[in-house]
Amino acid sequence: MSSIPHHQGPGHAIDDAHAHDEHAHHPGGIMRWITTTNHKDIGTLYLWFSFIMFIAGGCLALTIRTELFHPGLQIVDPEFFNSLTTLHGLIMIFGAIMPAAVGFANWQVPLMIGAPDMAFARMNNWSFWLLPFAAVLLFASFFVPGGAAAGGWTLYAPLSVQAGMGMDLTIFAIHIMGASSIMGSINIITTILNLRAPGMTMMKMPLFVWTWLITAYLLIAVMPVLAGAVTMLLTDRHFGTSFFNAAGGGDPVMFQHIFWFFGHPEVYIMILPSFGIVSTILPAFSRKPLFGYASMVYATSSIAILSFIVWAHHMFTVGMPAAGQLFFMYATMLIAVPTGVKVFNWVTTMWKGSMTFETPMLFAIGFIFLFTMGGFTGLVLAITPVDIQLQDTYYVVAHFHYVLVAGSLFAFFGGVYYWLPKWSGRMYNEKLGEWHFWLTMIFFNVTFFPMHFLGLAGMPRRVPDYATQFTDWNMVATIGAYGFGLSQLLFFYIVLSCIRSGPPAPAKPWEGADTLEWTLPSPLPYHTFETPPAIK
Amino acid sequence: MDRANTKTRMRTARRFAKAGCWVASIAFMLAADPSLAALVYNLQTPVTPIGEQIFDLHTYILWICVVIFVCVFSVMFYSIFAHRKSKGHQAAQFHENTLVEVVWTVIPFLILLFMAIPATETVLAMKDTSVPDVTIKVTGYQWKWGYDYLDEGFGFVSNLATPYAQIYNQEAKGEHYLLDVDQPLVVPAGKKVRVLITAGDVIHSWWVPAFGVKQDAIPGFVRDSWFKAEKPGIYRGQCAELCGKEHGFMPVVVEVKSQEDYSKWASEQKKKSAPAADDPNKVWDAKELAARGEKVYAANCLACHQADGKGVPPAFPPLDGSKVATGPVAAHLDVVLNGVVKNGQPTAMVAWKNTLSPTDIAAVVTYERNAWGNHVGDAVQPAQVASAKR
Amino acid sequence: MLRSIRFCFSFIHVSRRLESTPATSSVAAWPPIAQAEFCVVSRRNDSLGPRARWTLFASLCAVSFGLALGFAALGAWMVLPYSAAGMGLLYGAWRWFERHTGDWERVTVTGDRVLVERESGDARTRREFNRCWTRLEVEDGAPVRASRLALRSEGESIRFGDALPVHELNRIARELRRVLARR
Ligand SMILES: [Cu+2]
Ligand SMILES: [Cu+2]
Repeated sequence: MSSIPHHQGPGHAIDDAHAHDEHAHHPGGIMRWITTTNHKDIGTLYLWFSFIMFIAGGCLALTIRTELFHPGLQIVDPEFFNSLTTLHGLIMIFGAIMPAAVGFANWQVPLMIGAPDMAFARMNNWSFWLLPFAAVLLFASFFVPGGAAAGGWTLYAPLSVQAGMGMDLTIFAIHIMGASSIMGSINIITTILNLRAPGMTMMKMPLFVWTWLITAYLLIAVMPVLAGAVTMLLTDRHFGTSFFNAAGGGDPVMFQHIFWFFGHPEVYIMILPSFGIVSTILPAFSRKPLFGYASMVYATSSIAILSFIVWAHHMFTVGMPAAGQLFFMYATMLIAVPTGVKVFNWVTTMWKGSMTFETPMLFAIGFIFLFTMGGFTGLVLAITPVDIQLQDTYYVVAHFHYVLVAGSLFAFFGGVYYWLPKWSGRMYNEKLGEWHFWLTMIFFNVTFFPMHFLGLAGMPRRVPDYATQFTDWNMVATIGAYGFGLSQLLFFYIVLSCIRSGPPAPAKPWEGADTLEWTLPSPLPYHTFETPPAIK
Repeated sequence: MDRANTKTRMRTARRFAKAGCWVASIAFMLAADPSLAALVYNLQTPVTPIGEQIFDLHTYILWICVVIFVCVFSVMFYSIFAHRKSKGHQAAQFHENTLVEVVWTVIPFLILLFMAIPATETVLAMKDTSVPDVTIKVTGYQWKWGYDYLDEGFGFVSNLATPYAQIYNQEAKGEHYLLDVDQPLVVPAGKKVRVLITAGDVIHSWWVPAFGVKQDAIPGFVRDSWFKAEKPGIYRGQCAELCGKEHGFMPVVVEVKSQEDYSKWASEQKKKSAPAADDPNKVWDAKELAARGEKVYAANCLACHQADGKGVPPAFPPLDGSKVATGPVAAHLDVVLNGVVKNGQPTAMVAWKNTLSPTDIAAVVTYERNAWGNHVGDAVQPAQVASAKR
Repeated sequence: MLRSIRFCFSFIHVSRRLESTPATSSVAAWPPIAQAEFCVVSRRNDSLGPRARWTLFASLCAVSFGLALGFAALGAWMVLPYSAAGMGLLYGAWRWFERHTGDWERVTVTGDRVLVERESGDARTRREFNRCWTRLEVEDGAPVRASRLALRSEGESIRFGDALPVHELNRIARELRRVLARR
């Protein structure tokens, strides 16, 4: 029996695994990943899955951009083009952004609150392993007669009632992903509320945990609404009901009300965890506590509450009465207040700090800068008369890519760079990381900034072809899109080379980091923990 | 330490310069293209009072946003510049300040009020569809627009006029590529036009950017909107709600004419639609009917069933030698009048009873029964059609 | 020897802290710790407590069913079964969680014996190993890094410590390894 070696220096962390003569037997190879109930494994699975979906959805996007490089129909026919935009949306939202956020939650929530694992380890495994089935259904739908769903990710009736079998597969896929989300959020809520370490009170929880708690609430509240909506679509299609069919006494607009009642909170489901990640990274690299922790918590909660009363701002053109339009306009504008509080808080956190600009910090700053732009275009779109002009144009496309790509995705990139040393025990290549940031930042703007101009000038979204005055900006956007896509291969390389051959990471590679996980060694578990966590 | 900092700073500067070069070279490449003379970047020039209000509202809100953006981010970038560790800046440890937090909650709220007031005015103005001078019913179909002048009693369908050869890059693209129709909506200048908007199949959206009008066309429901175009001219828009395969190919074109020109045009339209008002009891001879039927066929049926009557099976069945076109008249009339419904869902064969006059239907049915290889030899009279319609 | 006693105290300390939270009734049922050379009790912390848990559940039900009934009133009743399913799942999950809030595990090393006791739900198990033949196993194969501990003796292996956070597990592993090696 060997005695336990003491490891103080960072360089030893990697070799620890080999210092032991005894290892428990657990399934190896693929079976290990299929049967795992460990939150770190499952977090890793979620993150890789979402990266694969990100690349797949990106390929669809590049096909779209290639078709739109020139006016005229070049490489795809219009129906397939519609399938591309539809599947790009669904895959990025349900396959890339949401699972990535759950991946972060799996890794970080237990570590940040001092819990042993997620509350329901077996259910955690199921909620991940449902996802690949949903993905297969979505991709398979391209090959069924009639092709994949082509009614836009919003699946508006009656167009989606008219569609072929691909729509049914999409509906099943949404059900599966919804079930996965519900299980995931039950797990996260229970873990956060019930499994905090002694002393970890609610108002001591890191902001990332707070934002995920609120996200999980939103998910539990609105996932049944989406499930109900697509089920009614299914019965309208096949079982003779007329929920959304005017001829049978239904109302096609009701689908939109139900869909957006889910859809708007969904927007916050996708962005709140990112707020949490940015609120974790900024203080670390500013070497200064977050300016207003409590006000951040309150701002997040009020955004979540407001998100239930603004859904019809997606429907200003369906022809609501003036009172309805005004109510939804005011409610939507109100969201600018808590969002402003967040941005001011972040900027004040940086103010008079002692900043360094490693890759996570760069992505966090890029997030604040571009997300705020997306926030402002959101405010422009909240103004009903202006929205009526811009609804369903490329301006909207620009807006939501600023909040979802430069918002959610940038924060996830930042989060990966920030925690990768902790997760893998190895450092990534900082220089390449910074390259990745600058390429992503520049090409993102080359791609999406011109879309504001296109939308203002009157180019509708979801069209495979366009009038010649829109050619120039479309060409710019397509060039940018290729640059953006290729830059992500660099990210893949950076992560891969970090995991396989990065230099060993110290337990706390970031000087200013102060959440619980940094008191543990890198790579995460076993060994050399000297003092129990002191929760301030 | 210092030298290291200088080195980092220089590296950062070089990185910036490199990035700048890339952007500049892309910009240069684009600028070198002569077709880029007129880059579009703003809302189209409005020609209605509502359009102008929207334009101004957007400009106003955009500038407020730009000012706030510049303020917030000059603070951030100053901080990034001044409060960096490499400059030896020590981190302050302040946090939480109730006064500051109240101020930055209240001020945005006040700014929002200043945005909401003019926006509210415009919303109310847009909704005021009372006392129109002209009322037109707009119907969205997959993939064309139907216009019915309710006061005048005529109507027509407006189709994309851009030839397929241009879309498939076999020909140079015309001036109004994709934004050209065979028959535009015509309205009088300076008059309040109320549009009643609905759809025949799925949701479409009728949009003319220069008018500031965008209203979804919803099957089974009628919504309305209005505009008062001040300046004669031709204004172009598109369907704005994804409506299937050809969503990108159903433009909206509105021609605004002076009142006199409009009146002249309207009376011509009425005259042109007069044939539709043929005496329904007139008895035609078979030759006359077939000749007229050929024209009706070419305008309405040929696209699917083809000039040779062979169709494009299985989507569009042939008429030449078909059971319907050579069987009993009643069944043939039923298909043409009421369309074909399969499993409770309408098919591509739509009902024509409201689109074509009894005389036209009689003519086209007669034509179909006696064209190509079909020689039934009967002549269907308008009166027959009228009774079958009942 | 001295060291292990201090260690034992540190965990008694942890369990005291737990006693202050509700739902720790079973703590009193633990057998007294004898003259143990090493003793560690592990249990999950229930940071919420049943009262707050079920209040929260009721409020979630109110929101979820409120929404679903609202939609049903508008004719879209198909949201309702999914709300019910979601809340049913949450109820089941929290019931299961609550049944296991009292679970505990204890590993005691005294003289030549290693005693592993466990209470899970209503089931109580007790295993005794010979100290000489008992080894500590650590599940830490890269890249899993699942830090799980198990005691192996005479071909039999029993896992423990699943309810402890990583850092506590690490301490226990170090200490237990030392104690077993000392014999
Ligand atoms: Cu929204
Ligand atoms: Cu349309």
